[in-house]
Amino acid sequence: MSTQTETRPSPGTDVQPRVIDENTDLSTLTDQEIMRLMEGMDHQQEQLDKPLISTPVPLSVIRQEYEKGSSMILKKLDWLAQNGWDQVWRARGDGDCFYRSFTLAYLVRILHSSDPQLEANIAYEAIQRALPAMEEVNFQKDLYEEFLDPLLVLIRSFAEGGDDSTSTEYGIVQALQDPERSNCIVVALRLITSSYIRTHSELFSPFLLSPTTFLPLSTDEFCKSEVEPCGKEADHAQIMALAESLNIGIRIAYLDKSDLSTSDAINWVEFGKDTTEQGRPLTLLYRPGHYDVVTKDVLPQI
Amino acid sequence: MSTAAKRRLIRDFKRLASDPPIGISGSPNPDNIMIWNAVIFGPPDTPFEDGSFRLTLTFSDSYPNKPPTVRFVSKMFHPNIYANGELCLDILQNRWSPTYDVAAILTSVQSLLNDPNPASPANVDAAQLFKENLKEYERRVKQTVEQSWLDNPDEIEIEHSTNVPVQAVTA
Repeated sequence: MSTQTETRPSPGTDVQPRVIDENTDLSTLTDQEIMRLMEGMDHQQEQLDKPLISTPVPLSVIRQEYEKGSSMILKKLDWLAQNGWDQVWRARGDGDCFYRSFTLAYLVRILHSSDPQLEANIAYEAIQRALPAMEEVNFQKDLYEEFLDPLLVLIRSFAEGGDDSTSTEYGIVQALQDPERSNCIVVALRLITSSYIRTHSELFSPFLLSPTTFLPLSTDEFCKSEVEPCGKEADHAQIMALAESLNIGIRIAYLDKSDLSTSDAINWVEFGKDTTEQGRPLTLLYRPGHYDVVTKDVLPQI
Repeated sequence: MSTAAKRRLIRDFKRLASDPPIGISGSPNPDNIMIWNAVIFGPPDTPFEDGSFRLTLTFSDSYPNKPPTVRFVSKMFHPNIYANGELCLDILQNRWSPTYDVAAILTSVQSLLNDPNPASPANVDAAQLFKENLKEYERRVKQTVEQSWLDNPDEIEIEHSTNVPVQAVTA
């Protein structure tokens, strides 16, 4: 169908965006320009050929992509490497990358905890506690249960322990590369996020802005346009809502050109409870317009 | 055929059959569950009142991850409906969520009838009259209402099926 519904308000016209082509020095791209370029990429075939989420690649592979780029980003990548972050799980850039990265990090966190069965039970309980909000905002029960099911099946397989084949990194990746299960989980997380924002409207309403016009949106409008539809990027409001709803810490390493504000040579943006190393928060890597998972490789237990 | 899409369409049909929203009916084609025929009655106290408008919904294997293609078969006069029956509705395009089921889609289409968005016109005449000459707009809409009574289902490309029992689809 060739029809477009929304008349997109044109962004501020006082500054003409410059033309970016093969002659542009990549190191001069601003974060905004990178985001704009990323947005167009979302549905390109190149993206669709990539797995929904990848097996881990060394952080050095990401570094190679930036060798001709910003020295600030290289500095941040080097700091991550020096502090033990050595692998990146790439999510497909389809607008669902935050939710898919979240799922991978959430499951890997359970897998590598000292007591996976206990952590799996805690996660299972956390999801159960998020369900009343979904009912409260009138999501159809049979639908959200169906979307949640693949995630609960995975978590239950950890809770039951034993030699289940999904209870490995490979098993997790395989499940999240399967479009049916993976997309169901993305929808389920979007619904959890939306129901949390909807039931905590007073808390979120000052932050619910349209990502294109920066104008305030009503809670319902924001959830309908920026949270519930697949392919819509998550921003701070969505990430905070999901972290709070599932009672999990999330910290995001910002791989952008912002100046450093801490003694760490990277800017962390943190959400939810305990985001210290001991709290084992989910750790994501953010590049303007895109999220991946970054982890410290764990040696298999013998 | 994707079993997920099929499973979900059976579920949508059961729900629509057991708890139909007011003024809406729909059912899959008896020999192809991916193509549905639906009828929307014009909402009361609007120029569309008393109209019975036919449409088709065509689902792909990627439903519910991707929306169906929705088209009016009945001739419409509405700012957001193209001459060929395709319509401009955000939830069927950039605001699609897999949680919308057939009942929700048809309800949204129904409420679009009396709540047009003249900012993104698919029918320029209708959009202009809606803004500038509401009386004439309503007259043109009422013509389509009268025409909708005459729509002969036999002329519709896809045969209209009525109330297939649930068992016939799930069996």
